[in-house]
Amino acid sequence: MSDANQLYSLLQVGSSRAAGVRPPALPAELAGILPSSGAAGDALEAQLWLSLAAWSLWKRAGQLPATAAALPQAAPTEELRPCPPGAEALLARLLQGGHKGTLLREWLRGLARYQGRLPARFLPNLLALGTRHAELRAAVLPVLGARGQWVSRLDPDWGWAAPGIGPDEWLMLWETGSADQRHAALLQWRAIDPAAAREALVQSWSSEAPELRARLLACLAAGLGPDDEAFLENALDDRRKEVRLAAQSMLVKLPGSDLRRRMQARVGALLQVKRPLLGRAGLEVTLPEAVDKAAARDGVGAAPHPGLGEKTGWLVDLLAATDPRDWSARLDVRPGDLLLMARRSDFAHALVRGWSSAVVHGAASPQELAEWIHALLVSWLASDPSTRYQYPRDFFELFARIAPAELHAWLADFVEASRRSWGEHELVLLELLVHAAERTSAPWPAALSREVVERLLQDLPARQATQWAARSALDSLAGVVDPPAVAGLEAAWRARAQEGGIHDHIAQFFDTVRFRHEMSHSFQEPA
Amino acid sequence: MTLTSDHILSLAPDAASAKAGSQLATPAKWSGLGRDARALWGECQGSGKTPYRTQIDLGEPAFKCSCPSRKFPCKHGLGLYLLLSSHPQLFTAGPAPQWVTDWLDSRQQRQEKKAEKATAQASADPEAAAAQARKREEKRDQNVSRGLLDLQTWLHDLAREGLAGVRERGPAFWNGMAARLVDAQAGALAARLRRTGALCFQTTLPDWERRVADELASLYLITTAWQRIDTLPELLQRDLRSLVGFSVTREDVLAEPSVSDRWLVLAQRTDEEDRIRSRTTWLYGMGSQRWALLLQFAAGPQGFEYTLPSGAQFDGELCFYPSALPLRALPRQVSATAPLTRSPPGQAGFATLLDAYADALSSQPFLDSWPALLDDVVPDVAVGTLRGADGGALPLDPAFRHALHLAALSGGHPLTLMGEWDGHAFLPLSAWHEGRLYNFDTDLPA
Repeated sequence: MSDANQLYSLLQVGSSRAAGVRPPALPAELAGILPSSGAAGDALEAQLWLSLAAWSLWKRAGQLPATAAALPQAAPTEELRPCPPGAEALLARLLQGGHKGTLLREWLRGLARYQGRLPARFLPNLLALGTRHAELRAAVLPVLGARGQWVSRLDPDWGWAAPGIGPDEWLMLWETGSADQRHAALLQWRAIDPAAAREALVQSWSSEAPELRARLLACLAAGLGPDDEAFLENALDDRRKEVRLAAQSMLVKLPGSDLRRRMQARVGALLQVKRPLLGRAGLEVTLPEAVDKAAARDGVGAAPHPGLGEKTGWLVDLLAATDPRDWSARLDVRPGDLLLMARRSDFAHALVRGWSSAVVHGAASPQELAEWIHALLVSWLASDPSTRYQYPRDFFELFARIAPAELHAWLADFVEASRRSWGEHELVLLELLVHAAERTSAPWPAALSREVVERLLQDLPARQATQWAARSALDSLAGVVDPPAVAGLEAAWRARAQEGGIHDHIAQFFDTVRFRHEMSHSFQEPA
Repeated sequence: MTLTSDHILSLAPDAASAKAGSQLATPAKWSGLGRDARALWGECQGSGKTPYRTQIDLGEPAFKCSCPSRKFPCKHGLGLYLLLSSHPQLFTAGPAPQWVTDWLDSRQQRQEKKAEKATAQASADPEAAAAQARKREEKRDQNVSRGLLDLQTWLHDLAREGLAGVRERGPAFWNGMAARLVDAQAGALAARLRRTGALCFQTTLPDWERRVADELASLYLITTAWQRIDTLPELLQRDLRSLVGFSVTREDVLAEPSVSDRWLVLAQRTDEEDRIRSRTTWLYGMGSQRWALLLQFAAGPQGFEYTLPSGAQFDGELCFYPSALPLRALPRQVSATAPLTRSPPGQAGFATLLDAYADALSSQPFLDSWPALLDDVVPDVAVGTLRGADGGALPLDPAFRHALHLAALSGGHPLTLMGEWDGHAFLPLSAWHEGRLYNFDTDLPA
């Protein structure tokens, strides 16, 4: 072997630079068959090449298997059913690209409902996709099967898919890992054993780097409970504002927390209903006069409210930290009427802002707040753009937490109440529907799907001013409308469709809907 | 007989057609669908006013479409075929319309004419033609001798200056010598030299220096062998000539005795270089237990002559190119293909493969890689080896791009692999898994 290495290195260096070096002797079997080197000028070079050629052939012909190292354990037997062949063919098409990412997620959910597992040949692709797009992971995990978990160990980037690790590993990662690993470990730990995870954080709190504290504290949002209150209260006195804000927002989310009680006491009689003899009832707002140290500690005046005065901002903070149901009870006005009055008042923006954040960020569940949410949606549809702007940016995340049946019923009511043919006036409603389509995965009922698509295709695509909105709405709606109900509308549309522009887009919408139809069928095949 | 959707997609000339074709495979795009025993037809609404008429001769399969695409088969053909595999109930069995029968008849006539022409050609003044051919051959032999001597001198110089600086010299260094070989009518050697040069720039290969040196040494061996070609056995002379770039005519190959067998299509790879696509297909004869290599070329939008998808089998006659170790073959007659239903018969243990390779090298020392079916192997991609049933291990080729897919298919359990052994490492080409063959190049998304 060393002889061959000498040959290779001699060739690397070049014979001109290795004057006087003799080429290594070949084994006797080979040396015998090589032609004796002549005296020509190139004799050494010729000998080098021929020796290497002979060596390499000799080696290739005589290769023997090595003794294998112990094999890693094989993948265990699958519990899940194999993927139906029709669905597998559709997955191959999805992976070719050119489809919306939500379709892949819907396919994965379909497979999970079927209690199937991913075909082995696509596992590396889906693990790589899940690594790049974290939002896919929740859909990939339930269909990985035993094989998928086995494969996920082959690439360190695929750690997110490896079978769950236990408390021992968390503790080890928590104590010795990098900042990101510790954050991930705490988050997972918290989901399984909230008390132990909190204790670990309490233990290390004083030694945590200040810039890391807010991030770690936010992990407590998962599995938040009354036992966390004492620790969070302490964090309200932290030197960093980010930490104080994180603690405050979690205490607002904690039902029955002392902070909520203190805020409740502060709002007192800020709002009153005024019923004049003539005219409509209105809301009378008394702004808070001052913020004392204790109130500032609880977060009043901590966040900026652009466009509102200082005292108005305090009002927003107080409303956001208290239960809106309390106001409708105390003033004896239904939420819808309360919002009507609010929009007429001088403090419309502050009131809408405070209540809408109380609904999204407060302690009560969306189910308990259903009447308020509905009222806020009605108010959103009826408001001018500057009032709509007061809703917190994550307001529509609520849709993901409302029971789909309830949300669909509301949407159906809104659509029902609109005109048969939509114009610019209905763009707000369209925006609301798009928010709903993008944040929920439950397919819409047939009637709602048909009503929306019919109205949408009537006039909006034809008008320059509304074309763009129609186009992007179609993209979002394609993922949630009921395929059989909408497929029926395609023929009528084709009859009056033209070529190019928005029409290609509509054709694509129907293609996507048809693809989803095929998809749901493919999971109904008998396996 | 119809193919599965994966087989159909492997007929596509490129990935874009495969994608476009699968998007057309929805009932809404088609009208007038029908089929009979020989063919399949339908009309597809494209962007134009009149729908495209698409038809497929199921025998080969062969495609025809009235669309202006220059791809072959076009996306409509693929879409129609895919639709048959997903929605067979949509195709009403019945007599073919005029436009379909016209095409089928003209195809048949053309094939008959071709056969006539072949016999006619053979009879045209053979003596004068043969004399002329001999003269051309002699001239070419002289050219080639000159070119190979040139290559030998070039290699001597390279050995003197050392291989260490070869990467810095850039591709022009290799292309210059390759161009001189093309001038000397040694085209195949020129291509091989270019490929060797390209190894220097393939940064993913850890052992490129050894590979380049080995390749150059075997090129050197060819130059010395050429100088004494007359002393070599007759069949080995043919191998050497084809390595240099002398081609054998189709007619000569088809005149060789044929081997008829049930052939399994076990692997397929399509490469593209300078607008010429080449398709390499490995076939294995069930009865004869021998391997055959099908090399097909297609320029531009043209399709390949034989569409034999991997994972299929057919009965047919093959004629082998004359060689000391016949591998490359041409089909003389091919029946309709059917999907492979059973695992191909692999050999357990690596000893048989290594012995067969040593034997092959001794009869054809210029041999590069050798096909093999291995049964009961477990890939261990973490260390890059294949483990055999007898506990031995062979290295996996570091150039293998689908190691993780292979691991996923096996899951640490034994499976049957088809691939090529080059004396150093095994390059898997396809795997048998859960009742079907996966061709790594086509069945796995990159």
